[in-house]
Amino acid sequence: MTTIVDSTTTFARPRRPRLALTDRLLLAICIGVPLIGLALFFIYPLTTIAIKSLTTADGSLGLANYLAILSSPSIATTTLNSVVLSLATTLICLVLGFAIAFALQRTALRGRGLVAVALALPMLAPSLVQGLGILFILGRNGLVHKWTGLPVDAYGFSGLLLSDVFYALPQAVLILQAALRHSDARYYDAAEIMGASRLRQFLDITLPNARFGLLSAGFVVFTVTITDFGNAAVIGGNFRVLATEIYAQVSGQMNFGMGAVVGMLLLLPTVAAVVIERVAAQRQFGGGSESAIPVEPDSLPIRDIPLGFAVHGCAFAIMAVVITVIFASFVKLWPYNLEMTLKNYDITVAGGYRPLWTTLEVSLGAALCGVILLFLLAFGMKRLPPKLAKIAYLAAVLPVGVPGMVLGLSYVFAFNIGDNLLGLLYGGSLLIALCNFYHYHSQGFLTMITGMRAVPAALEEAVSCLGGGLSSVLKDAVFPFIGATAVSVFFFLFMRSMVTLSAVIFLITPSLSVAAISVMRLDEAGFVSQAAAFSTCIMGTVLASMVVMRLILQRASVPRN
Amino acid sequence: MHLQIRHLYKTFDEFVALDRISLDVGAHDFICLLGPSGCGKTTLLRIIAGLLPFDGGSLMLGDVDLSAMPARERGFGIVFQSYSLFPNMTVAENVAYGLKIRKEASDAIQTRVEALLDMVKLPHLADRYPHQLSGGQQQRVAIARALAVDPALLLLDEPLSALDARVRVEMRGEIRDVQRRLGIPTIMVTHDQEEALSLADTIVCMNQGRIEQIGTPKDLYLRPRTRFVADFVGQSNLLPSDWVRAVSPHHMTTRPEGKDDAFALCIRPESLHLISDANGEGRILDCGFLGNLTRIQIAWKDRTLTAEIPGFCGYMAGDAVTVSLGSGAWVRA
Repeated sequence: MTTIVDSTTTFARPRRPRLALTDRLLLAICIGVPLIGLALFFIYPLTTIAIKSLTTADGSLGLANYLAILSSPSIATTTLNSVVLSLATTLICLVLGFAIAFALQRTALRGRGLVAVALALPMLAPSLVQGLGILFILGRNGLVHKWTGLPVDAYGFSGLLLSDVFYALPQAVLILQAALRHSDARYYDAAEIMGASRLRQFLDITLPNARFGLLSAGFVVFTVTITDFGNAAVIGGNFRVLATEIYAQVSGQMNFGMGAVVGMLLLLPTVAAVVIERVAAQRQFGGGSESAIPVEPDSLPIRDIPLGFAVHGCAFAIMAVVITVIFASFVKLWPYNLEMTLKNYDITVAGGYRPLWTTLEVSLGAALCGVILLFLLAFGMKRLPPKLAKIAYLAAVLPVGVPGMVLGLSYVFAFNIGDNLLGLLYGGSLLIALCNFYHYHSQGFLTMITGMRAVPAALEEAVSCLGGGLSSVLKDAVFPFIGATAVSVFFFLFMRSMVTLSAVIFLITPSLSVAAISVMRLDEAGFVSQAAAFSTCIMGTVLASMVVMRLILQRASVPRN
Repeated sequence: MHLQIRHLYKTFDEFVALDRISLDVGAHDFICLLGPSGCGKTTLLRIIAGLLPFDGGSLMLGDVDLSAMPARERGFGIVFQSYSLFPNMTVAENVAYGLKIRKEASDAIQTRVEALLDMVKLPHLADRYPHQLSGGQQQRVAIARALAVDPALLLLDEPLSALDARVRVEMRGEIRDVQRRLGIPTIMVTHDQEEALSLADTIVCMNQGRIEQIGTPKDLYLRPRTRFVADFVGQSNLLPSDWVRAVSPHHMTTRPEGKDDAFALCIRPESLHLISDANGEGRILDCGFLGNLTRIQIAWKDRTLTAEIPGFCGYMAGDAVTVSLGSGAWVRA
């Protein structure tokens, strides 16, 4: 080891090459603008809701709201309902999700494309489409009742459970597939040579290696379910959960303080889930080896045939629900008069199609704003000292722990005020766009950071050494590599923003609404066929945008060395 | 111009990466920073380039203090191991890049680019993209790009490490030619001693953030001053003082004053002479045939020594030999 030198050679401050003025300015913008945005549109509203939850009816600070909630039996039931529903959904999604992920990743399953399409469908639509479709099939006036005459009723726990499973399953499959991809064929070769049976190999290698994936998928499903509003609103019936409870407290009873408290309660399980999941994810990546040989799918009839039936059964069910909604939108009176018609698309109530155009505008705004701010942040962070970069990173991934409903409600508290500039935003589509962006900030940010890692550091340094400033670094070393990532972040934000319901529900006004709300309003008013038609329009728009994304992505891929 | 480094000090957290480095680079010098990975050679190069800050000492180019000057204003050329060409620009555009940043006239740029591509022997590839070139070709473009701006100093960060062995040897010669012809002061980082020996005017051998020895390639090989240099540059037999005193007393006459364990004698394998002799005290342990030479392990006077003989030799393990020690150098142990 180097012996430490005598400290008489004291050194003045570090000799750090000073950036040129324009570069410093550009760097300040890169870091400053996105962080100010986070402070104004994420941290500030959340602080407001926290304070609101502590503000009692007479305006003083205290725990009165919390005590009132805790002593209210209805809240206890609602919380229990939410937890039971989420646990049940999690359990089912893990079992089915693992089966599907395993079938896709490790077996010679036929018809993979079909399964992939089925799994992509729920992400294209607002969460209430599952509820709507299940009602069309299993509701009091559904297909099954018409065919069998049985007194089926999908309203309540079982219907909600089913629709939540359909909604959360694709996300579970995505995570579990990634976990199963993360193995090494040599483990299996070694086990095979030592004489382990297929079952033993599955129990000793496959399952233990996927345990962090299972943990992570479990938490994601739990979080998605406990914070979901759309399905609960459409199919929950009298089965009340926390998400609908906030809405009832705030919208129905104008009880903002109580709404804030329920919002804070809703923050607890998701924050816990997110923290544990992060820790698990880090441990998972610690174990991965660089030179792993991927496990090739193999075929084993005794396993694959039953598994294939199960997987395609799930895929069929998911698809059937969505297709039923689309089909029902084109018939006169589902399920009694199946004559084709376009009359359901003639929507005049609840603002007609205007909310769809508003949503498009909002989504484009959210995606554009989002992609620029996230890019600036990811670019600037690489040039920050590590300690500051860590803080910026933490702030950027924080939004993932905040359910949409809580964020939306906090916007009401923060921006529904007349006495300052921020209040001017309330009631405008810009605020809805910002809310949607910050709702999905973390996922977009993580994608952007991953993309930024692909930019070769040496290329950026080459630009500097050749005399280029920060703007040349951006133009010549970063843009050519980040294009594809930026496009995918843009469309991620766009698609999420097109279908999200939970956050925006508090931000709409009589004159300004969004598409997912229209579906809910139409359904509430009993115009189920029109609700189906409107859902179909949303799905069509999102699908079209996905096609556009594919085309742009193909163009954006530059030659690499 | 003359680059002067004085007492340069750099830490990463608690780790001392560069411990008061002092070094001069003359106007036409080709300097190699040689050392094992983690010795600080790349850190030093990046500090000179302005890509890393440092904690103490001074860095001057002529009369100009570089310590606060950003990389973009230093006007140095740099070539990385990873080529680092712009993937979306042609070869000609890559070479022209620095000139464009300096807003030179476009016809002047074109003439200059043509001349540079001629020099690196790639005039026919001007319109290709980097991914259409081989590794060696890409590295030539990177060198042309670095030279285009008439750099005050050329910095090469392991430029040959990613290339095939044969291309590497070929490129070595070309780098040397270009540097000689243009007379640009050049600093190259490498962990390959052969590369350093064949290219450099001066080798700076580094270890654990310190300079072990600065000298010509011949100096470093024939007169290593420390055990580390003797070991890292070429093969050597390092013999303790008391053993030398007993076995080969005449070597003691050149030994500097000092305690027994302060110095060791470095004998290069080719300076160890063997003669077949049934009564000899040396025993052959092992012969490794390497093509142009044979490397032999011998047990002699309670030590295992390494010798090298040109071509193939007929020794078998167990053969007896007489061993004599040729000239050597005393190194600090």
